[in-house]
Amino acid sequence: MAESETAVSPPDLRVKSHPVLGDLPLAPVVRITVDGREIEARAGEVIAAALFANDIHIFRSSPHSGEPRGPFCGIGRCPDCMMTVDGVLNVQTCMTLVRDGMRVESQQGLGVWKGAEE
Amino acid sequence: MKRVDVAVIGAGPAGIAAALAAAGAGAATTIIDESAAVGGSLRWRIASIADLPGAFRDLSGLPGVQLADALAERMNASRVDIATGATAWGWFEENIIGTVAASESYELQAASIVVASGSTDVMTPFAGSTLPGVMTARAVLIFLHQHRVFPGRRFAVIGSGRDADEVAMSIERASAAVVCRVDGVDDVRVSGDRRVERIEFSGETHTVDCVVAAFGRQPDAEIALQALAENMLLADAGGFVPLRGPDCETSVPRLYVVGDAAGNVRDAEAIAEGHLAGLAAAGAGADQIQLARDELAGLHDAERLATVDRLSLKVEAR
Repeated sequence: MAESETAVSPPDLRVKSHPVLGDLPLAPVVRITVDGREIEARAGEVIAAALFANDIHIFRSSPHSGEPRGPFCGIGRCPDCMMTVDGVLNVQTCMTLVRDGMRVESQQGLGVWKGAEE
Repeated sequence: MKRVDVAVIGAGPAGIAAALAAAGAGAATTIIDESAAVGGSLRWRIASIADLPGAFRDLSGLPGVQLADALAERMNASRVDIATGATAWGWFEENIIGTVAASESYELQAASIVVASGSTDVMTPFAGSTLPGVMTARAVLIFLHQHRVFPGRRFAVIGSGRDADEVAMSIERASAAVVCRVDGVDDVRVSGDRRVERIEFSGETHTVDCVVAAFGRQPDAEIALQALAENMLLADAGGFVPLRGPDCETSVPRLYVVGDAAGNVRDAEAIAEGHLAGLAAAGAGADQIQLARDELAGLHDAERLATVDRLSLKVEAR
């Protein structure tokens, strides 16, 4: 993890400056993969925030109809942002912080266990 | 098992006021919150929080996020034991609270419990409401202000009232566009290829990438309901609301409910309720409690008074 750089993402997707909150503070870069593609995230942010910052909006499909789903409640109450993270199914990406090297996968329905993976 | 005099569940404005009051009255007090930092809903709000009561008057007018910081400072300077990252998941007999923190479960027993667990957003389904890009007002505020990322750039806001106005104001303050607003869901149709692309209502079509459902809040007093506190379904509060006596005590002795968990209130009222219940839970002096009761009563408007009266537990009828 490089301490000095900030996460690079399309600049218009981060709230970089704000009249009340001020400028977005610098944060170390964390690299995660989403469906095999590497993206950059800010250390200390939740997975869903990193995905939005990289213009990813479809997180999973519903178990019955297979329709696309994305973050809805933002507070860990609904299942719409759940993804498979490092092989663990149904991780609430709106509540779970990114970690360097994390593997995030879109989840189809209830997902499939692939056995214990570190 | 950990034992305290007063356990407060939820560290939003109501819970913080309760914990500070209880600790100030000499009670060994623990406050539990699932978030990493105290402040509750204030953490994701930039609206100015006006007309705060009593000891909080000097903090009136601060944006929510800054008020959260100021309250956190007071908490840190107090004797309140702060358990953040901890979820109170169950109530058991003898006022025992099942709590989980960092995947470890433990029991907390309290002589008095103040439930200040707030609310969740109301959702009403509409055509296309499951598409990615449809989000609650609260989620949009959290992504914009806490996570500092745009869930979209062109927003439609559905709903009316305080919460809808606040989310629309917040989107514009973040320099994104509120393309359109519509009061109800009746003829609303949201569509797009696998995510939100447009919204139609009243014969209009707008190109948007995020649709905000701002239908207000519903009380989330789950811990009090588990304890079988008497309650009633109140349609305009969006759910089951615990009945309360004059000090916000429920039908379960020494179990109090304050703030949004007992039905939507303004922050000033939430704080006044928390302050009162905290004093009562700690067994503070009668004159101090009377002052807090008067302060709370002074904040009720006519509409609120009617609701309070409807929900007042007849203590003598217990």
